[in-house]
Amino acid sequence: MAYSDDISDLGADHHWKFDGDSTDVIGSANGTDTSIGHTGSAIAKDATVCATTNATGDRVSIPTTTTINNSAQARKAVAGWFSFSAVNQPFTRIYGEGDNTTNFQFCAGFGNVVTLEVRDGATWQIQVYTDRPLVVDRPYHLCAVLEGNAYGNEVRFYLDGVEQANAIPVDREPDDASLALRGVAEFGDPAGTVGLDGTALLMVAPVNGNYNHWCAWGDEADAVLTETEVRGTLFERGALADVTISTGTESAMQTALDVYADTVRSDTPCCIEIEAVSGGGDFTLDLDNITFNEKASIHVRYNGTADTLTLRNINGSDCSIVSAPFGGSLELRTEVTVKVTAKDAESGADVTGARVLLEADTGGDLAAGTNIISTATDGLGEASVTFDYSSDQPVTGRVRKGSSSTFYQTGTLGGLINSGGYDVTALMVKDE
Amino acid sequence: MAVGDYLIRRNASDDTTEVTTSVTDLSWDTEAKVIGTGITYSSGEFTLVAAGVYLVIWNEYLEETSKTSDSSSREEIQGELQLDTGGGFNTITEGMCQGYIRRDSGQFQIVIKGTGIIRTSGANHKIKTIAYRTDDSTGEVLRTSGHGGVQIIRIDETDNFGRYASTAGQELTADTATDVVLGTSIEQDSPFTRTSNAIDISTTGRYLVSYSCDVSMTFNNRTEVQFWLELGGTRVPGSSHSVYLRSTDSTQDGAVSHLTLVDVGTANDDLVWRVARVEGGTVTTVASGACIQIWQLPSGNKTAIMEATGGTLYTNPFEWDTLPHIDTDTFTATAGNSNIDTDSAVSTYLVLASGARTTYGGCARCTPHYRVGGGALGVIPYGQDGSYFRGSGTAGFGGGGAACIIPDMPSGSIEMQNALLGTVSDSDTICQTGQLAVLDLGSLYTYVYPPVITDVEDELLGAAEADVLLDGLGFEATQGTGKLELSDNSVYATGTKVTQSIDSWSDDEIQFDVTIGALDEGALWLWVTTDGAELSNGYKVNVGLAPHDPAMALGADHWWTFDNVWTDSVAGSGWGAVTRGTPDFLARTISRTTTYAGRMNDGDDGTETPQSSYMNLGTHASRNVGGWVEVDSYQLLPAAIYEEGGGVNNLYFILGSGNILLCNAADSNNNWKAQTFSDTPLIPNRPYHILFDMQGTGGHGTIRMYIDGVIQASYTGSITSATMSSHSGDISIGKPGSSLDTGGTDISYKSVDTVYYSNWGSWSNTGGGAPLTATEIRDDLFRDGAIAKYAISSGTESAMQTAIEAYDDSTHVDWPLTYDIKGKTGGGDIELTLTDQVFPDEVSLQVRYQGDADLTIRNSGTSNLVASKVWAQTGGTVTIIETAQITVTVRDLSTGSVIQGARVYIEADAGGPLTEGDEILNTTTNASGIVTGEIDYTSAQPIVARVRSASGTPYYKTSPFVGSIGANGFDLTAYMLGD
Repeated sequence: MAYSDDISDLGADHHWKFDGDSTDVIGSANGTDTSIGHTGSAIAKDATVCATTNATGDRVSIPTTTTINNSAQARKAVAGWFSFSAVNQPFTRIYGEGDNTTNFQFCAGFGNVVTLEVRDGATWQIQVYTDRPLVVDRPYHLCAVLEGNAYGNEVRFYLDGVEQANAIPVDREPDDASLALRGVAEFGDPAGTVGLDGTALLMVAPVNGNYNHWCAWGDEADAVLTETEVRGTLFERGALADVTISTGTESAMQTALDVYADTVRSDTPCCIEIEAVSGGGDFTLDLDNITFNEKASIHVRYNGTADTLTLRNINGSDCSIVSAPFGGSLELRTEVTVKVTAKDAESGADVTGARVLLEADTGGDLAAGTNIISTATDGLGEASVTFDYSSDQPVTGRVRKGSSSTFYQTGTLGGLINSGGYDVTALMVKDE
Repeated sequence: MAVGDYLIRRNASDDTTEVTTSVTDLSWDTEAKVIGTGITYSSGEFTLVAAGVYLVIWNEYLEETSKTSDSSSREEIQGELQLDTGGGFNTITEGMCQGYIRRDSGQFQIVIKGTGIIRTSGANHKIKTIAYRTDDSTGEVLRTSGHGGVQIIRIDETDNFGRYASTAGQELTADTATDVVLGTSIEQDSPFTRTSNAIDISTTGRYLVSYSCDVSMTFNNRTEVQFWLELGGTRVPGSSHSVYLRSTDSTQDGAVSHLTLVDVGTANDDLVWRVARVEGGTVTTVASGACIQIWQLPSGNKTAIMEATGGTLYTNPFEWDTLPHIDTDTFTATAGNSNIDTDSAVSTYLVLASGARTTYGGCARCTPHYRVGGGALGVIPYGQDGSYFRGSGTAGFGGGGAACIIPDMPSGSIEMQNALLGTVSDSDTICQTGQLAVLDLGSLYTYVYPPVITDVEDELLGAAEADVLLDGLGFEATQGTGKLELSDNSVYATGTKVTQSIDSWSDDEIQFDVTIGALDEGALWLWVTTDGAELSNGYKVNVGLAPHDPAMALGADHWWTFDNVWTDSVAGSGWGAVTRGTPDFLARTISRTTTYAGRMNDGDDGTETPQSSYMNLGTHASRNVGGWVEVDSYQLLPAAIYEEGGGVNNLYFILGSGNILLCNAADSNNNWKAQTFSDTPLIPNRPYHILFDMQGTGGHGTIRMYIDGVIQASYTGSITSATMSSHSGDISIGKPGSSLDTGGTDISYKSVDTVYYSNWGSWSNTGGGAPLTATEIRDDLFRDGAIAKYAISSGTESAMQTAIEAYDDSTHVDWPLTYDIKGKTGGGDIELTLTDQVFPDEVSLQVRYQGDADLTIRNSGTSNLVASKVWAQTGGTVTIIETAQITVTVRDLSTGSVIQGARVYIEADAGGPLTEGDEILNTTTNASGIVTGEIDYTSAQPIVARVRSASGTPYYKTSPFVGSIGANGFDLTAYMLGD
């Protein structure tokens, strides 16, 4: 299903795809462009171009609309994709309704830190700030949700589907029924007086600011977007990926993925997307020594609509943020070492040839009794295997040496395999 | 009564006397120094007790206080001496002076200064000072306390004098230099012979010359009259003084007085008093009675003279080009330097410091502020002069000079430390002639000095340091009832004093042991009282810990402590030149050695400091500005902390977007704009040290920002020119004086509400201080200035351990500095342990150690002290010991169940930092079968160990094990076999 359909399914009242024009593809609040470009590369899925404000006076004017600005709203949401192509030195307004006294606006400054301000005259005001400046040429999904005190009594601001907590007041509660009606919505340069904290402040259009898939919800139940809808649908399903592993055989896809072995993936909305395997079915791929930027919002996304992709971090890969928003499943595992070292309890000497049996206990992903190690210790007294870790796995086991002298009594093993693996020394007592 | 007697009185407290068009008698409320009984003072009148010759120098600092109205007004203040020889006071020409205030130049202050050599014919003649205005502006002009003074010294009347005066008014023609016409010889000793206007001096040597006259003009135009001396047809450096007139607002009356030292190197050279009028009033007249006095310094005089042929008039300190005369048995000086150093242990000096142009030029309105100062002297408050001039209309000569007596001066440096009155400076304000001259009055007269402390062996004394040597003279040979005291005030009577323990006492040296008693560490003063009850000078020392005062060491052009004063402690003047709202101070310490902070408590609060060539009026390749700030809330509207410039070129700090700090640099002349941003928001109620670092293409070519000494990562835009253009307009803290360009848009910011300021400075490459190094910013500005959340005072090691343990098992708050730790009582190394004390990443400095020995701190448990956030401030060292955690779990081999009460014994094996056999752990397992311990970790430690349980059933056999304790500790499960 196309991303536009996702937005429609969430009940949006207005949707400006900005895919060549400023038309409202759901409602009728078509935008009027003032020097807007429509030739830049798309910054989200389901679009071929984006809208661009490439001068401080550029704007898209939205006609006054009940479900956007021209009514008091107890519930409301606005979301969309946006990117800067530079650190903007002047204060900019990405999107806004109203003026400096009553408004609902995304503003930016101070090195591309975005401020969501929702203000109702002198009655109440909430500012929420992104926890980081927006990186140049990196698309972000912005989403703001308002609920008056008859509902959730909260203003929420999501960046790439992650709720932002830096806010004044900290509780982000309007403690009021609704946001009063306000001036028309505009993308980019405000035509009238705007400001922050009730005071006029000159703001201009982002240069360059890029827009795709902005949408708005009026005062209705659909406006109360859930975290899953914001993150799982609006962000994860719309994010463009830096790398695409296209459908193929499992081995072909592994080969394609291995091209990125030993690389560092940058700060992007989605580093790698993996399509379904040819013919369907579950499949497994290894990430071989791939380092992911901690600020990237999705490390790997599985685009399959069914089946399970098992993804293994091997050789130091550190994928930790995964997504499967289109119906399939993704299981992330990390290769760890499980090792048992057998030593003589009296002398401390390594015991070679001791039989180690380690199996899953109850309480983990594996079925109790699943064999993990069943082998004899080597010349260093060690028995080890690699293990695909996904969550802590209780284990039980024993170690003995009864097949050749020196003989040792059976010892017990226990504990957990955790993200660091399992490394236990068994002190063995000679069997007299 | 004796020759050499002198009296110095000052205006210490009068800020309210207004100078109006009515004559005002000036009183001088505080006696600064009196020697002998030859001059007395009462109720504004000075009595010259015996008939004789007196040198009189006086000055006053005046301020136009009604700054918000009639912004273009001009004020003209006349100052005069009046002499009463028995029949009442009458104005004399000697000592006449005038000051000119031009508010369009942001100049609200002026200094008037008069000089004269007066001979009285009878006993108890009196002198007083008067001031009045002849302008018709509506502005209010008040005296200013703490600056002005009157100095009178009795000269030996048997010395040789020449005193001359004009007998008729003299009209000046435009732009033509001429002689001041001398019509009468009032007194003429050998070696002087006057022929017409030329005074022949038959004997080489040094001559002190004072001239004074009254000038007026008609016709409204900018008019400047400059006077100077010529010797043998050549202008005498430092002898020039100008007066500025303009009849707008009825400012057509002027007067000058000037004092200079003339070195006559060729016998029978003619000394001629010259004058030139530049542009201006059609009729310009030097009034009848213009007078000049010459005193041949008697044999044995010791002098030094430095002269200038270049430099900028308002620089501090001013550097001199030549050294035409010096008596090297008394003075040392080097051409090219700023200072004349006095070599005597203590003496009394007459100092003259002046400068002027010799050709007029197109200068902006400018008011150099001539000031005598130097070294430990600071600026001599009664040694000042100010002189306005303006090049437009070609009245661009300028010229003025300060003069003062410095009593009881230990050996040290004397300089001219000029500044600027008003906001307009100009690089064309070139000094083409100037003089720094010093006469050792002790070479002429015998003075008995009080005891003087000249040196203490260490600049920084330990709070209990023993055997400290104090040098000076006049302590007397034996101590008797004498004493040495440590005081917390520079005024003896005001301070709390602690008597020091004396080891030995002689006339010129005292050895003592420091006793700080209840005084706080920091800047303190030593005072010697002799057996004869004579009190010495107060000698400033730093005890325990030097105060946070990095301005001089780092070459700051400007430094503002905000410690209940707006004053610029380097350049004088300071904030308050213009005020918006009600900026004030609050008793709040946000950086070390301060008890107050400057405060903007409303978005409309702001204040300005005079513009500066080292800041916004000059072009600079590099600049640094910064200091301590604290805000009390999140700033919802972008608001200003500091700014220079305006809508074209600027440098500023603003705060917004959840308290992100932004520094902006814009230079539209050079077509660049740049910004830098803090990595994290400034948390309310937490002090921060902020500083910007602007460098042109000769440096890093960007604007960068340091917070708590750490450079911030984010910046945008490049500085593409070698220098940043000047950016006149204003310099403000709080609400800016004008809109500021922000990436191409002009924003009218308010002040951050509320913001506190402490210990700010400004540096420039032209001043020599910029760019500051990263180490200077971190150590000298941030680390030295931070206030600690907790102080661990000196004590025994166990007492200090107890004190620091109070914070065990806690996570410290976000603060610039967590701990100040003093040295151990009695000195020596000390070791402290922090147990489960967690320092969040936001803490900028975790420990500042203020001892001089070795401090070792152990990180026990989860404590996370790191070396990069530990600083030894006073010469000691700090070593951090990491620990490794040991965990042994004991289980039954057969059942896997834990065993309680098993004894675990671990000792060091060979191959590690411990000695083989050292016991590491020896204890029994708890109910969970676990024993834990900790070891200081420096490198891997091999161990041998055993575990046994034989004290209660079931019994277990002893199980030995070996291993190695690594950086991550040692964690082992030991299985035991039943016995």
